[in-house]
Amino acid sequence: MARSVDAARPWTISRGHAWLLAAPLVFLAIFFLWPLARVVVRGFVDPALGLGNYARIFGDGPYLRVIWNTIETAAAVTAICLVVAYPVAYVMARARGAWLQIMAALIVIPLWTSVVIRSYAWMVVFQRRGVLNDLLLGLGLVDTPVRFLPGSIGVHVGMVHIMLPFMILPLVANMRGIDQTLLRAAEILGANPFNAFLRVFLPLSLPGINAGVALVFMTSLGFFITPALLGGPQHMMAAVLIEQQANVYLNWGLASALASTLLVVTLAIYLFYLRVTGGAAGTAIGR
Amino acid sequence: MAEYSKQRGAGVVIEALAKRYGEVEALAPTDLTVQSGEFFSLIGPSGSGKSTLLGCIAGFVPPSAGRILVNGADIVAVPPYRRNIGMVFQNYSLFPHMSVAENIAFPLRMRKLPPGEIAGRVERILSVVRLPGMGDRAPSQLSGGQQQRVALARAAVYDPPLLLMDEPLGALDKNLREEMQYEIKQFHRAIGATVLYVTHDQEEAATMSDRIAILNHGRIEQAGEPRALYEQPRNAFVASFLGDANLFEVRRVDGAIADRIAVETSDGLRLVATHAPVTVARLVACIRPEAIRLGNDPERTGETNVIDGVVADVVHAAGSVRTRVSVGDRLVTVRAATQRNVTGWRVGEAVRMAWHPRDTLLIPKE
Repeated sequence: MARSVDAARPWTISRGHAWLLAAPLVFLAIFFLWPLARVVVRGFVDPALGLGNYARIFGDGPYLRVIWNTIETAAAVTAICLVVAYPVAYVMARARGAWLQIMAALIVIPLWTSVVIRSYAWMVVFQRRGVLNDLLLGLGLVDTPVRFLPGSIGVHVGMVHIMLPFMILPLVANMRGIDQTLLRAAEILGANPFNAFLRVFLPLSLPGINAGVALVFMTSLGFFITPALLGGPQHMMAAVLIEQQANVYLNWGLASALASTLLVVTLAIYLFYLRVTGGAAGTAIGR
Repeated sequence: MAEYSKQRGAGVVIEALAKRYGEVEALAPTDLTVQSGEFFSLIGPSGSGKSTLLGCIAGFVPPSAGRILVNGADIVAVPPYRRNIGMVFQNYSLFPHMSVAENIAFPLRMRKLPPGEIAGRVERILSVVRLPGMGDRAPSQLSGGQQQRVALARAAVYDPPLLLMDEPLGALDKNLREEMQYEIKQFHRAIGATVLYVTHDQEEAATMSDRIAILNHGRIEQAGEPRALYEQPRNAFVASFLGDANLFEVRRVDGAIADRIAVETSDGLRLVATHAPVTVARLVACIRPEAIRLGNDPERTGETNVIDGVVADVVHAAGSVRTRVSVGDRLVTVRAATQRNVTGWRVGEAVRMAWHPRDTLLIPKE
């Protein structure tokens, strides 16, 4: 295990090569930091200088509810992804040869399809006269089509489907590094298979869990297309609300304030997470 | 070594134990009896079946046939976690997310011992393996030798009557390995468990074991005390695996006078032995390097085996000198203790090798 600790140690850039970072830094400064700074500033000055936009967000309106709903949805999607991905990753980490290739392909191929198309595909499944309703009606389980869309079921299913690879892949990477003889050692020492898993395998897979959870949760907070297509006003998420305020109502100031709020919330949760996991999430992603 | 509750090791009887992987016979039907408290080594080249045999006893490898009796009870159907066997692995297999003390406490916690007793036992065994006060360290903070001692402690802390060791010193460098050989022997005496020790290092096995079984191609070629195996190898494989051996293929048995028997080797040498040859078609004459004496005076009494050759190389190792003598197109190895003020032979020098007929072992080739 000492060797894997060495492998996780980040490499450092020698001073002579630091100039290599110049181009990406300039790019980020122009196309990321500058617009981001303008967004943050706009939240305080548009339409009038002051905390007006934030007063609206944290006031009575629907805004706070949408942000809370965003966090809740991201958390639920992350939890479902973890529960579904863990056994898949467990099997995949033990697979060899052709089986491993087939499983890897099944997980990676959906990534080649655009999120828009996959979200539309879920619309076909969930809509009033869609595949799922046809099935339910055909089986006689319901008399009239169930109204899945727009709503939270579609958003959750769609987002889980899209985020699943981002949970599975870090888990597999981590689990493949777990020394199998440790499980044998646990068993000969008297641990039944359940205890061997609980006390040896699960703790050793924590870095993978941390990486997957951080990746899926952070990405889910900013999800736009899937909730926009499947969610509707009943299940609005922050990105959809921001887009609406900016493009439909032209409340650029409020949209900017909402975007800033989402950014701060995301950062706060991430920092809290780093604290709880002892920084493991950051290092695990780097692996 | 600190005081430790000594208990009786388990007697192990293996009956017709076999393992097949499809067409491949990893372990031919094998019988073996290990006495209670014995230090027993399984040696052989890789793929000889020694690890398969150990895996069957540990419970990781389901045997295709046969029985494994530990203290008279067949354990083949018992899962590993209920066999109450201790095991030390080559790469130590310490749990990296647990401290040294937690690692050692693990088997006790699995056995649901009260916390007070667990703490006491962990402390006691840490002093047995000479790591007192190291309980809070992480395994990665310890040296290789220390990690192996923790692994020993963890495998023995629950007093298993049988301890399996799978090349436990394979990852250590030579000096540390010799030190640990001694420590493992001491440890074995302290705990009294039966030890089954797998290694590919014949010297290690000979140093540590009460008895050794030499495996090849999935079967036990010979089992016995190290000295007996060395002095009376059953066949050419055993002779060459345990120690160095000069092997000559026998082409013809010329005949016997009294207890002497003369043979002619395939390279035309005439050798004399005392043994009555075994009645098999293909014989090999085995002469151990230290049985041969080098000289240039032809009149040496009693030593009826005399071969002339030319010194091919001379190697001085710690305490002994190994000389290789070329005879025709083959090399004969001779080993002797280094003597003060005696210069060795020079390369290219003509030399006469001589040895007593009782040192010519006639053994079956296979």
